[in-house]
Amino acid sequence: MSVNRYCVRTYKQDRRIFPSPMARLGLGVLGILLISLPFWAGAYWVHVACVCGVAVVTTLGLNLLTGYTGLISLGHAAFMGIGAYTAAVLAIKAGFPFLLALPAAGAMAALAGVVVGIPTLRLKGLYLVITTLAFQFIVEHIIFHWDSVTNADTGLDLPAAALPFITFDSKEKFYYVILVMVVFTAFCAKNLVMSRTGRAFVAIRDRDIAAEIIGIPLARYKLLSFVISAFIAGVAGALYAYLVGHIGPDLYTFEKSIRYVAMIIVGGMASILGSILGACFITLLPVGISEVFGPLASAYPALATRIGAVNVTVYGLVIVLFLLLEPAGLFGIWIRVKRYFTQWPFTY
Amino acid sequence: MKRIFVLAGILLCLTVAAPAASEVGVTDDTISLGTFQDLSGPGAYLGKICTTALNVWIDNINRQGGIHGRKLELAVEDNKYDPELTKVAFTKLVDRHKVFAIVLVYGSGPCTAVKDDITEKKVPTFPTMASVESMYDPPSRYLFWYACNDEDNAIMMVDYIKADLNLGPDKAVIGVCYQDDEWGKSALEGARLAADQYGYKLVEAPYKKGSKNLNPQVMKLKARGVTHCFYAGYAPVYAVLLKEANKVGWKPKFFGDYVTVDPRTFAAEDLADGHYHFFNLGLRNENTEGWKELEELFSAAGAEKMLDVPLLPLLWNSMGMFETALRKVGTDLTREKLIDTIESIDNFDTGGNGYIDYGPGMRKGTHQYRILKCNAEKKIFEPVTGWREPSLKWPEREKLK
Repeated sequence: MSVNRYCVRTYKQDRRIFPSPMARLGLGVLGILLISLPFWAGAYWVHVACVCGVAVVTTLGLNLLTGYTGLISLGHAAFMGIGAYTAAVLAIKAGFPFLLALPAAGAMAALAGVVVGIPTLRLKGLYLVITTLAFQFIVEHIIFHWDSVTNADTGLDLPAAALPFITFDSKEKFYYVILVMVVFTAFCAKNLVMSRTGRAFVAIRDRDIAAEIIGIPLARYKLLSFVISAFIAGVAGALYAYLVGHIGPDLYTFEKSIRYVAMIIVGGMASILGSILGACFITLLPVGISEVFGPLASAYPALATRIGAVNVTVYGLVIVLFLLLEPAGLFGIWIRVKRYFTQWPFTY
Repeated sequence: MKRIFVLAGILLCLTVAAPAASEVGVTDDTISLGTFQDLSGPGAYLGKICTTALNVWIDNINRQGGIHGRKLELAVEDNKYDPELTKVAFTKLVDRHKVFAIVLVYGSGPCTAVKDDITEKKVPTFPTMASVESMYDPPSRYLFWYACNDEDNAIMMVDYIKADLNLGPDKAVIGVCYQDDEWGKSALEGARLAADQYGYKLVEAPYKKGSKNLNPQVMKLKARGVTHCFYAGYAPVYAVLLKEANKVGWKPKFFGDYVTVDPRTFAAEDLADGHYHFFNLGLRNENTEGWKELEELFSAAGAEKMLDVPLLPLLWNSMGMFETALRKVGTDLTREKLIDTIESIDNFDTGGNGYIDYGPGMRKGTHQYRILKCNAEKKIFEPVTGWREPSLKWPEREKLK
């Protein structure tokens, strides 16, 4: 029988990030496809892939906080906004290079994570949700009204990202930056959840009192989860800012926070692969719907607004059906498909 | 030597016979246009108006045989009024649909998000109706702006108080009640410039976007003795402002911006009567040639309801000018020639529905406005002045800021 995550014989096998040869082969093929994408996909799909990549990075961070640690955040777009504006202000006003602006964006968002995290250490469930919601609106208000720094709703124009030897002045070039960040974040997140820290997160999520009894310092790990998640969101926000080249208050709204939560729910809570699948699915769903309904709207402009309404209905319906029929998310489907093949001809 | 001449001759013939490199989005039979519209977001009503107007405009041109034999095609992408999705929609229009130009777009956030892409990809965008000055300042060769500017209107209000109403700084206090975004701040800036010029006292009262309660603003403006108040915001909120002012017994003269020239202003009933409004377009009740054409075409298309939208000529004037430019360029249509032609059109005939004018380095298409008065009984707006420009013109007034 082949070795997979559910059939391991040694600790060494258990510690592997990609346990089976098939997983490694699949990863290799995916890697080749992703690396070659700008050469065959065209600017539109490269842009869509970039947006997917930023969503994946954000969702990985949010899943560490919500999926693994059980702390629900409705303010993740605010962390992204803090990162984006930090990178933009540092790049425009202080001339920070891209390589410094990116970690600075993460650090500022992480600092905001501490500020939000400390008062929420004693909060759980709905109370925490309301607190992070308030944080989201406070950040939105600051972005909109701190004219001298954020330029209010006019926003800020960023220079193209550049390293000493290359300027990422096209989407095709910047795609590789995002790809590297996605791989790096996924690798770090996967390692983190398999480490002592990750197990502590899960223990806190499953039963915080029991976790404290067995010696896990709740305050430290909850705060750590907030800081890591916010740092990743800040970096994702900065990446997005460099991708679009212009940022404004409309990019980091409450609606975006909800979308990120939807990504981890649809993808699968407490799953790195689920984060990736969920982010791609929610980002690509409107794109896919537009592929179907877009030509109709172009062919019958008189019906365009009705087609738009159908578009929204289909989007909502798909998500509702998903939650009803597959609560474990895309990750659950993926596991079932994989088990079918690895355990064939047995059904269970 | 003879062989060389023969070879050179063949090469010359091949060069001459080779088809000329055609412009993106232009074929022998079609011109491909694109637009991003809010079809399912908060501004879907605007998306409906614009897509319908574009549909009527394209049908009308194609029925007449197109532009020099080329039929117009339109690709519509839904941006849900979201900057992120607008970026995706723009990339799709340019990369997938390979459109020649983008037409009739709006929304400050969405248009700002793709402003640099428009310049980078050199796609003529005609026009953007976004209410931010960054659409024309600094001017981008490929981006044309056509709407109303609240900075212009607020200056015109102060001009009107000074020159037409003959009220000096000792008899009038200027107020500005505005939505606290770029749109509203533009009105405040205009009022400030003009008030400084004539020595009027200025009181500002911003309100949060989406607010339905203007009591604090009204109390502030009343307490400071405001006699003439400019309003920048949506028509339903303007009606709320009128009711609130009436409730506290404050009776200034209001000057609503172009968005208040809207049937929803009449929700305030007789309270709306006699107040002023700014507008850069012809009015349906004036029965202009332009409106007659609109009535004929929209009725034939079964879109009579659109005729109740006072801003309809804003769309029609710009599309009319775009059509004229397409025809004037001739059969050898390129983006650069189109832009040069748009710049060269003077005194474009809108059928009495206002003015639209561009030039080299000038991407602000609106310069002239009229002041209207609301007749609540008849539910119409009537002009009280002719077409005029603000005393402090753009871009000269930028030096005063």
